[in-house]
Amino acid sequence: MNFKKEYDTIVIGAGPSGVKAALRCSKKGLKVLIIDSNQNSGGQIYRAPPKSYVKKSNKSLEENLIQIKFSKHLEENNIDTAYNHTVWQVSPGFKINTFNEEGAVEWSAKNLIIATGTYEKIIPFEGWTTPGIIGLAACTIMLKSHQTIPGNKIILSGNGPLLILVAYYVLKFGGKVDAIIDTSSKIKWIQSMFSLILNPKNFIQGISWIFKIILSKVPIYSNSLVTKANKTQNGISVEIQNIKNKKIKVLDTEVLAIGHGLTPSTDITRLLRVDHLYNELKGGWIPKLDKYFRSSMKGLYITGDGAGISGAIAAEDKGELAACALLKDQNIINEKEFNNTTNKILNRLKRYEIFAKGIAELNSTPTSLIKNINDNTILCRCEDITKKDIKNAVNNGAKNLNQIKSWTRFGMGPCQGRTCQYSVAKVASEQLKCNVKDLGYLTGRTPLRPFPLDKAIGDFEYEEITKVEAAPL
Amino acid sequence: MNNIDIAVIGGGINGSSAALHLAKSGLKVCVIDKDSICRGASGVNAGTLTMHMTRAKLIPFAKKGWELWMNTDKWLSHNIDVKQKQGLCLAFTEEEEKLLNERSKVRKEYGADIKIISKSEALKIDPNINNKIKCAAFCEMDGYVSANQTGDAYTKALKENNVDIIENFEVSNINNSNNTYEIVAKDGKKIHANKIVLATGVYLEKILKLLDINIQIKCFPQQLIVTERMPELLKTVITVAHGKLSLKQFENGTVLIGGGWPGKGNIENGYNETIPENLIGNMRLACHAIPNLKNSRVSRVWLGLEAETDDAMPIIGELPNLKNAFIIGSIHSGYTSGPYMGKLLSEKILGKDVDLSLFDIKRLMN
Amino acid sequence: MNLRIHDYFERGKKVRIIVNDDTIEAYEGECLSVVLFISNKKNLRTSPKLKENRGMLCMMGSCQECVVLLNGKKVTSCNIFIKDGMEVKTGNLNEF
Repeated sequence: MNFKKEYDTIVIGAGPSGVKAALRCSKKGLKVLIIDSNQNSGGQIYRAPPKSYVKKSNKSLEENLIQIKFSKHLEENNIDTAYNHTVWQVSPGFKINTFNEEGAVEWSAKNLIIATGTYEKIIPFEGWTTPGIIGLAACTIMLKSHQTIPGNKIILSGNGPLLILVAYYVLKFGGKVDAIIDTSSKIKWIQSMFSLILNPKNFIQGISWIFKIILSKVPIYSNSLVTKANKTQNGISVEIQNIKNKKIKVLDTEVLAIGHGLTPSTDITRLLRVDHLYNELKGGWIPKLDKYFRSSMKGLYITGDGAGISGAIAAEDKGELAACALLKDQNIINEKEFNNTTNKILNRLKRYEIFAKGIAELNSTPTSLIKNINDNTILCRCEDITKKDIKNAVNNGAKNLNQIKSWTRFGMGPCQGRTCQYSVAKVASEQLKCNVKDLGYLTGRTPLRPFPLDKAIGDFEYEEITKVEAAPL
Repeated sequence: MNNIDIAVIGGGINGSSAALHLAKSGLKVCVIDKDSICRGASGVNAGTLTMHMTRAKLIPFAKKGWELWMNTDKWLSHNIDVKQKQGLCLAFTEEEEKLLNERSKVRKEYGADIKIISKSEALKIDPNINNKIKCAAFCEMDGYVSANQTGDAYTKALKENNVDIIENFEVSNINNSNNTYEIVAKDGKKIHANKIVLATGVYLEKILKLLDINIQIKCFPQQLIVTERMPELLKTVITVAHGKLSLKQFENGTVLIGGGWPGKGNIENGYNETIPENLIGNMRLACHAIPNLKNSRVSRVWLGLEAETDDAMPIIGELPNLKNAFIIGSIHSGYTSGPYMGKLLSEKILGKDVDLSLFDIKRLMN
Repeated sequence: MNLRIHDYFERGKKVRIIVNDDTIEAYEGECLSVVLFISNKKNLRTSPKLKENRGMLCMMGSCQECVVLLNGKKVTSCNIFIKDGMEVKTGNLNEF
């Protein structure tokens, strides 16, 4: 392994909450490192275009401007950045092991702030593994970060506000949206619109997006879900069903982008074995935290959407709060300053509570989606495990997710259950007639991401390999 | 629960094998486990079936165990993946060459069919190995089992033979009165049996204390690494002279890297943690042996706890000063010989003439 | 229709990569999985038991569905950026 570097605080995740946390810590004199697997700051919501893209001066996307501001502030405050670094292991105390194109690195810090955000949930349906079907979040990233439309014709499906954003961008960039398949109703759009507005003042902008979509005559199928998808010669055929009147329709398109809300990333917290609790409205399993985002492990703070989904604006304030808690715990700020600062932030956060309902809409999964999964549908894509396999394990006596994993191999592939854990839990809980939280969550394991052996081993001489005593004869 | 002839406490491979053979002879047996059976070392070890890393004195037993593994349809169940493979033990330096020659000679004396072969012969058997080796030891009798399937397979076999499997039963006390053993769980449940077998693996020291027997069982947290599915990277099961590497590729293309590199863990709180330097050391050794392994990625790492006595030899046989109480455990590279050792103990319990003097627990007591 | 939007950003220089036996034009520094997706190379790997075609899903480095062989090594293509002359293999990677 390469050089070790020691910091006062390491922040994992350079999205809005991580950046704000890093800035606040650094401003009080702490030596801070921020690590992100992307090429730049911004996280997923303000994801920067690839480094090789050069901005044209005349036009800007708002998200890009915010991201550029983040990077500027990080630089101005002398915060070290480790971009393109993938974290594969975190140990208490704290040691963080990463790898990048050059090799493996070990970092250490007294305190750790985790701001790793969320993943998108995609509830399985027949044919969902067909190439050409991508996540709604994936589609957003392709559009906003990579400046690329996924296909000439696209169908969007899922719940809530992300549909509006994606549809708007596809149309803005000159693409064609064949249809929007929304599990909820149009009225809910207005309600949940609040959760995605970057700045509450831009509510008007949000409404204009909806108008653009309506004016483009994009067919909108409300209260509907995708029941099946098949590959066709030119793309994908999508079968949809209206939840209320059960009518079925088949649509042809090139690309299907589908997503059913976000769920907090708990890879690292599960690996560190901190306490978690289940909260469906906040996205599923989240670490147990106090009001200032302290976890059950000393020196470890979890912030942003990974602490429970509340949107990008709230994420910034959450990052600030976690940093305040850290600074107080390290005796860098006193009780008075802590209270003054945090009270202001907490008051700001309260204002977003009116948006909380909309955000909950973004993340709750309609039961119709779970009921739609048939026995032969694959749940675990890495290992080709179907709903039937899960049901069999439960019938044979498996009582929790870890046991189901042991018996079926679900979650043992390269994604470690990130893609399927939510759906498997829903299916198993339905069968066992228990709450999802009673099934527990998958034990966190190293490596957090597949770890290339060539990066792990680096260059070495045989003699260097740590001499271990020969086994007894 | 009554009318139990024998209660086997600890449902790993040792306990479950003993239970299976006892049940086949007509006795009423139950297997007790604080978890589900075979979830300890038996379910998470590398599953290597090799003579190259077996302790020399245990070779005769490992050979018998190997035979049992290759014929599981006769005694266990059909649903466990066992593969015979040729085994190569590699030497990269002159020192290792010397070690390999010495050790192979001793293992051969104990009955292992191991022969030293040249670099070119080794490369013919497996062209994937590093051509910088000095020589290799070769054994036809090698291979692997998919250890994570052990629990499922033994559960079926035990049930087929009328064995009661009592899981999630953590033993807190063992009382002995009127020629009956009373096994008490943490939650108060009780089981009565005429005879008991202690087979609790890394928890043997703890459970022996309940019977006022004090010996030390060392507990080693070992790391295991598995890669993503890859095209063919090796044809054989690979080990190295000093014993600190085991490498095998399963039918599904994943490669399992082991060799006893330590992680952090203990039996108290179950928390375990990998030690990155040791992961990397293990991987370097693996990539040195099979250079193309560099193209793969690690998919999962896990830890298991291995039990070892002071002299690194098994404990099998009667417990001293107690009637009808037996023990089996701490069998080095125990997965290979476990099924046979369990069978031996069952024969001893049934009154057959079995020589277990090599494994007598009294040698470890003061 | 050109799926690349050039209104806001100028991309790097034009380069060539080899995907299986085909040569594909792309811009240096673009994301590999995106380039494959829009160049009619949506089938990236094969699933283990059912041998289904699989392709890019999450674009976040999480799902591992976009794994391909790059110059012989397994990589998550959504986190790889185009360099001139890259050799990519897709399809049933376990047969290579």
